[in-house]
Amino acid sequence: MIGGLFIYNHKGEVLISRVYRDDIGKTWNPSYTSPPSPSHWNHMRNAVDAFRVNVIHARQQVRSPVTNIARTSFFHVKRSNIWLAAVTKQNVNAAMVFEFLYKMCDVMTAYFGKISEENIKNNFVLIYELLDEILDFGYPQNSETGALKTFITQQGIKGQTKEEQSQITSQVTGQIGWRREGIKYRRNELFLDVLESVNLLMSPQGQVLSAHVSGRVVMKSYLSGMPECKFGMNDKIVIDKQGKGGASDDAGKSGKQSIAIDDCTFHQCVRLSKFDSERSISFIPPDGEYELMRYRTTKDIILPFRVIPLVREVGRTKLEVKVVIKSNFKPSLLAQKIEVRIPTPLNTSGVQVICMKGKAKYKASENAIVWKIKRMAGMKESQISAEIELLPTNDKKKWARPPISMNFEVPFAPSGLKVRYLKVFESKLNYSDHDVIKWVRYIGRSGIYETRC
Amino acid sequence: KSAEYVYLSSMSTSALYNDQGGAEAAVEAGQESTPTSSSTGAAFGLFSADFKKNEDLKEMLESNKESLKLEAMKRVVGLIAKGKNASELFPAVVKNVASKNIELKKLVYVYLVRYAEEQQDLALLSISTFQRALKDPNQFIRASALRVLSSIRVPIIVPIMMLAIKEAAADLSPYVRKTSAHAIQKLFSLDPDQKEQLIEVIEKLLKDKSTLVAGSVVMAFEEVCPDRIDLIHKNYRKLCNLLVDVEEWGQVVIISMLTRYARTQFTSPWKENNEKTFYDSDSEEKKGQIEAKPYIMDPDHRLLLRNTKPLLQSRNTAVVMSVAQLYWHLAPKHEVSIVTKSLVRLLRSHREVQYIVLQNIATMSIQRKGMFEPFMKSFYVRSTDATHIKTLKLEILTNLANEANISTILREFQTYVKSQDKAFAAATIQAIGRCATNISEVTDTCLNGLVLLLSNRDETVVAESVVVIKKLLQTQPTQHSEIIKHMAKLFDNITVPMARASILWLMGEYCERVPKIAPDVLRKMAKTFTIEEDIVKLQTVNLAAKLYLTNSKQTKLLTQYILNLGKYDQNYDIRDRTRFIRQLIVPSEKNGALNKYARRILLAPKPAPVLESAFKDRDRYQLGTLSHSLNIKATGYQELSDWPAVAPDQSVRNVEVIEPVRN
Repeated sequence: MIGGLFIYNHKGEVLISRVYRDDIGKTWNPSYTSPPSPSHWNHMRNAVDAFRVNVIHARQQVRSPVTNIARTSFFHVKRSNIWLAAVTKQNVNAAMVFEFLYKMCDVMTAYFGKISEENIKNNFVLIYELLDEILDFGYPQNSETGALKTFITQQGIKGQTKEEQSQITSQVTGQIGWRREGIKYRRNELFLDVLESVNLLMSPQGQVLSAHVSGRVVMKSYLSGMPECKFGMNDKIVIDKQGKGGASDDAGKSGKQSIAIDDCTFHQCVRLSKFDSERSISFIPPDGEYELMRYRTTKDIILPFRVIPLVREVGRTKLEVKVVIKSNFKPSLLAQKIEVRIPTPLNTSGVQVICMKGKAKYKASENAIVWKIKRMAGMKESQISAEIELLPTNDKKKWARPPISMNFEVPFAPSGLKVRYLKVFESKLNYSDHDVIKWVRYIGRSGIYETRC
Repeated sequence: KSAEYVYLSSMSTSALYNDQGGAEAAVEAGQESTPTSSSTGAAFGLFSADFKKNEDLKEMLESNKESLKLEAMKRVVGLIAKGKNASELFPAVVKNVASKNIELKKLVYVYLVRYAEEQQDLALLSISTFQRALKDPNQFIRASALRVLSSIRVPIIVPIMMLAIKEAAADLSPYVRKTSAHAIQKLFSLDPDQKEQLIEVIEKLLKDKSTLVAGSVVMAFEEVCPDRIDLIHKNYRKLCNLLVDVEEWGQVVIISMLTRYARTQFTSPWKENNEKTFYDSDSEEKKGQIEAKPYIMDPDHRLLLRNTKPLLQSRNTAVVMSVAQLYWHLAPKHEVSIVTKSLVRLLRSHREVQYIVLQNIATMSIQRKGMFEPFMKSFYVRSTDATHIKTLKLEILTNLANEANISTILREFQTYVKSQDKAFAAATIQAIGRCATNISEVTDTCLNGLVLLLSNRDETVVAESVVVIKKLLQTQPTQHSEIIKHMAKLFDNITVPMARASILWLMGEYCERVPKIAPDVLRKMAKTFTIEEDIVKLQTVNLAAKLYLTNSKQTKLLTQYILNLGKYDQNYDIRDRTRFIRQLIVPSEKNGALNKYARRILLAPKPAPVLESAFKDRDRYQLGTLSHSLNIKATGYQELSDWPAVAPDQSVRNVEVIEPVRN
């Protein structure tokens, strides 16, 4: 399992080091008395140095997130300037180590926000405590932030009373690890966010090469007691099933299409076995914000924008580019933060741009024309044309024409997903489903949205 | 609040790794504790600042105020974080282990775990506190005491640890039992001689019915006695049933252990006649009929497959990966494909996870194209992918290619060849080569495409194309003299050594098909011989020799000239090769014996190179493991055994009393 965990800054200095097993970085030396030798701390430093030299300061770009140096394996992830590295000599489950590192990042973000050198230095006592809690002898443990917050002493929560301690124990030892008992709110409220990112790769002729939507349902719940929730959406399989049973009023009335969900994953609170058998999503929610589910669809995606590129080479020193974008959704809706990025050749000497809407600028440092539009209603179109002057080069390399990419935000779900209901049942307390105030919002963002040109 | 504490001074690398142990140990020697072994008594004054600060800390730790103690402990942990030696504070710190303040207590634990091994005698002072805490009415305190106690690596307390583990394993609280399972591994690594006793505890804990304990005890099992499969029999069904409710990290370990178990206990479901392999509830009565011809899946085997399936919906990628490998290694062939969707989904996850998943898919896709073919588009390369992700996707696309989809794939490859990432463009050309050899229908199309690439403006693309064309021509040398002629024409403009060498080799190998051109190329080479790279020179010598044998009339003088140049080359390889070739081909009195065979040696029909996947032999490792990922056997790798020909006794898994499973 994980032998040790190190956090480095961008210079390769160690900010945090925690060693769980003394086999890492240990080179066999007959002069050491067998197992317990205090000097294993020095060996650990060999491992620490090895990673710095071979990965952080490596000459070439590092090709793989797993590096094997002298039979010791380093798994690393990088967040802004910070490197997190897990070290092991054992045959571990590779995906698990990365999953853990990302959990670790999530937990740290939940505690002190952005993962930066400064924040890590200011919180190292907390981090040590966390590392003790979520890794025991190199085995990942309960890393649910909500549950952790109750028994990590740093940052305000300290000196528990007897009551609090018993709460902790019920949380740690109980079946429901993500919610404690006795939560009370005057107003029972919940917020649902459907966040989608739509990805597209289109050929210059307008043929969709690949498109998919990956979405998340994020829920903020402020509910009293131990409520049982049931979540429903326009999932094709469920609606078809209901249609057969004759109870198709919901789907029939609204006339909304159902969507085919390719696959989905759930927060650990959702009863997977129930989903497997009846495809219903029922759960006891954690308190506060969490991600209920993730899903992915590939069929019948509403592509909010269509990009039509036209590139013409005029002689060897000039390029004419015309790009038309068309918005393809209800005229009453507004897309925001639209940005079109048109790549230019490396030997560009000057650019003239004319656009119908918004602002466009040639950014020499990024080798691209960036066209920004603040807002755009549905069923509209806009265009930009540019003349790019090129320096004559004897460089034989042809410009590779990277794809035109786009960013935007729209107030609907490109997959077509609709929340049909979210029912709350709490039998022990005196509030019913109707008393809960529920909010839903849809946000569709661009993921990698590219059109080849 | 902790906010007021500032992380002291900017750290420099040298300060971090400086081992100050020696000097400070010397300071310590004058005081109450025993000196550590490495006291060198060096530069006392150098660390006096530190020394003073430590005095302050000591005072703070010994004060009566809780807040001061806490502040001091935070600083001490800060020292540890910076790699400074804080061992001399040990006595002062240990006194606080009995503190009622949980925050303070936890920080003392951090310190203890770090230094107990160096200060064994003093560490013993804290043991009695832990022993008391092990009897605390609060399960949380009992567990945390055991956790820290077992992390203190002091050999003298092994018997105390052993006792504590045994007691905790029988505790009423599942949380304490879970902690005891973790302690087993720690004790095992401290003193492997305790193995037998520890196995007894593991055996007991395996019987536990709590979901909390299940994951941890299997971790201990895997570490201490992975070969004691017999301990699992009685618990197999229980583990399968508990699996969905175990916490996610535990699931990963249990699944991997059960995969290994199943491979030793059940017969292979991969036989040909396995259409009717559905779980039959009556089949339990049919014990002893194992040799019966139609394959019937053991109900326990089916149980495992059925109970792991819902976990494909887990949000933890490691769990999904584990289930996928379980299905790959255990499920009947026609059922494996249910994991495909989940694996493809993982591709949207973080980059690093993508990398691991793609590696596994690459291995799978060699054996089972059909599994991933419907999802081919998911493996299209994005311009934002990192190079290592791109090459893996390319690998998979190549594996998936067949007669039906090859034209789509080749069209996609055409886009990749234009990529600015040159390493990737080169890899794409290699991939085209592989497609061409694997699918005979498109060999000519690919070859033509590659020939077109020869006039590409980018040098690396041209060079790579030449190398691949060379390999392709070798696989079917007939009727391709046109291409060889074309390459001869391009020869003057190609500067990449590897490509030049490849063309020369082709000329030599097929010199009889291009009788007019080959000598001319040799003539040009004679002019530029001295300024060529080494590999080009070697191939020139080769070409000269082959032409000498087939067409000595035209090339005799040229060959002799080149051999003379080679004889005085700076590189000894070239000198050696020249000497060898000369002896071989030029007849003289001394070397008559070999000379006769020169033609057969140099112009022997050569086997064509096989273009195959780099992931070809990776399936010898269990999927999802580090060993698979590195293609090296990592320490502690447990082989998956082959299916037994005859299933071992099934009744070993029967449990007498069947109780409802409760936490």
